[in-house]
Amino acid sequence: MSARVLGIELRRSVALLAGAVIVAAGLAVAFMMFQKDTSLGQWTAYAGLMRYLLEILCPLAIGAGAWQGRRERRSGMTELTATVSRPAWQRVLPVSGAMAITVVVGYAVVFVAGVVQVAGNTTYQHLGWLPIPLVGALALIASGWLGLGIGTLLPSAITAPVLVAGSLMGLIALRVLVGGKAALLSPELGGVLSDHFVAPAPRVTIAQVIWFAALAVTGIVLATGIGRRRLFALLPVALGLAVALPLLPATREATYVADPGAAEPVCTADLPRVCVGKAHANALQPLVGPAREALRLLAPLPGAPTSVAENTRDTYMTSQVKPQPSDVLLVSLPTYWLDNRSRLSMTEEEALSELLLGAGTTPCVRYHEDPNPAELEQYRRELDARHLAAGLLLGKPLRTFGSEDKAMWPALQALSPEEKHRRLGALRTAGLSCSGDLMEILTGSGAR
Amino acid sequence: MRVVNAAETAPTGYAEAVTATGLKVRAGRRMAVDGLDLALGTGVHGLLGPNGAGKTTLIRALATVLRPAEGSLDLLGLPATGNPREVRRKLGYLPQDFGFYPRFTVREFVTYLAWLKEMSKVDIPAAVQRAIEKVGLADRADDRMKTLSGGMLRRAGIAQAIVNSPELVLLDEPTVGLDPAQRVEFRGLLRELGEHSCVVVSTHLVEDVAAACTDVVLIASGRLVWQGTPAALAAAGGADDVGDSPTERGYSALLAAHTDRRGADW
Repeated sequence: MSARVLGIELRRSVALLAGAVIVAAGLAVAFMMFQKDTSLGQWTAYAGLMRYLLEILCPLAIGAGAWQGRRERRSGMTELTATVSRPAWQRVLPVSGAMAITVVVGYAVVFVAGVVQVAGNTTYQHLGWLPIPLVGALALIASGWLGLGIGTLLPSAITAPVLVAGSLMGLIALRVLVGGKAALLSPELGGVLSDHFVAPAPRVTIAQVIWFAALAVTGIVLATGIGRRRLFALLPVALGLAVALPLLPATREATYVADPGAAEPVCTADLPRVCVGKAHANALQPLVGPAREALRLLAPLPGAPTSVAENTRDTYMTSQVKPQPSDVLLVSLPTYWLDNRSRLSMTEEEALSELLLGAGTTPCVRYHEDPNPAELEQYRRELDARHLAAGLLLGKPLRTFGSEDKAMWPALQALSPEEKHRRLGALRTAGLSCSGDLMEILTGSGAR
Repeated sequence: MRVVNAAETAPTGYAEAVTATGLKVRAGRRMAVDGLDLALGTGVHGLLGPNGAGKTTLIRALATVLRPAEGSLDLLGLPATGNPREVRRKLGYLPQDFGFYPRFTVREFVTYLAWLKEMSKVDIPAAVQRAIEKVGLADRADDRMKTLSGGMLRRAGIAQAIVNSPELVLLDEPTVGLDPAQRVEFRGLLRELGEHSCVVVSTHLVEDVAAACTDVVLIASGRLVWQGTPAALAAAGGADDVGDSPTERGYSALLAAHTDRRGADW
């Protein structure tokens, strides 16, 4: 492809405008929605956030491509270009190349706008996040080229706006209504990347590369094909789906893999040892005080922990880390506990309360997005018991007590120290292995 | 009056850039070119005929836009129905409805077309400059196409048609919008092009043909009516025929004879 002709297309086609729109829309949305997002504290999370942005930027790229696609018809150039010798697939290279360059540069500009912030915020510098924006860039290119193809096929003035609106609604529907593995056919990666200790599974990256590449090829075939040859455009889409769908994982958990670099422990030099994941190194110092106080309060209990470590496997407590080792007090630091720089955004007292939940055990009842009433009741009961246990250890009710907790608190508070100790010990033992109903154990109705 | 066939009138030395035998080409449902025999070589060929004669359809077929429905058409020694890529590399075409990219400058537009014609990228800048100068647009080369007047746009169209030094130049109504001075200059350009190329100019302006063409092709109802030199065309007319000039009178005389002959055939 001639650099001179590419330059002409960069200057004169819709490409430059497309890039500018990507920059403007991207920065506007990022500024309005993500300015305070804790994802700005970690590379992988930030890259995931920028993928979320594509739910808006990809439809815009499709629209820009569609507008460009009708240029030949709009300019009355179809007659002249029908008589030139350069093959159609070569003819589309400069305009598609210009489109690819500008949307990727636009996306890069939006991405770079947050880079300085992330680089300054995080203690975990790495390049493992790079595939995330690269796949995002491929999704943008595919969108632009798909729009180009459709715009060439249907060179109407309404094609572009209809495609923008349609693709925007389609992508939202894919995420909200369809879900499952099909949702991963969208450029967005899902909110779980805000968990600082995971990265997209390689199979997800591979599947998305295949899918978006197939869409891009489809766009080019549509843009270059004439008449029935355009039917060949269905081939790459079908092939992309046939390969990508089986590769995509069926469950949300399988969409992500642990990031061992982020979870690498960063610990205090002195004892008792307190550790956090490398990604949360900034949270270590503020955590040390409450963590050691929690160890002191738990020390009288049987099988008391002797160190504190961040639970990097289960930040959002959506799955059990069981059986839980008794000598380590595991603490989760979800992003809502943290600020942009991954420092604790809660008071020491709040942190101590969290550390003492369930007498220093992690939850047993798994919480998921759509629980049935029985599951919800089970979850609530365990949560109440965990809070009451923390209150008993602190000797005062927690601010986070619910109405059930408040109702039970006077009776529990009135127990003798020995009985409190016995019940808390029993609750901790049960909590470590998830055996028994914590509320029954705490209230005495099922205490052993 | 005797209707001369193509073979008799084709000037000797023609390399037969265009050879049509029994050529039929559809324009929509209508057979606009209907059994045309034609041989054109190096020189400037003025394609004349009344409205609906099939001039534009013939030009479009020569430009490989339309495929022949019947008969054979060889362009630059190659069958037009085969792979036209080789032919298209040596083709220059100005359509009747000339489209352009309005945001491009003249230079960018001609450069872009040169690239589409697969010119060597090292040759493009000089060739573009040359073509733009030939059509007298050097001072507007870096202006956007949308800022040009109708005549200037036509000249930009001619520039893109000749940028690749084509062996076959097809110009459909090239003088539309040109002022008299520009038309005179354009005739000079045509003569220059015709020294080495086969130039086919479709026009209604008989005086352009008389001034610039080495050969006149008169078609009506999709068939060749007459082919000969402009001098022979002028000689064909009489004082009573319609027209302000000898060539116009020759043109109307030949058409009238053709109409009479068709009437007699019926």
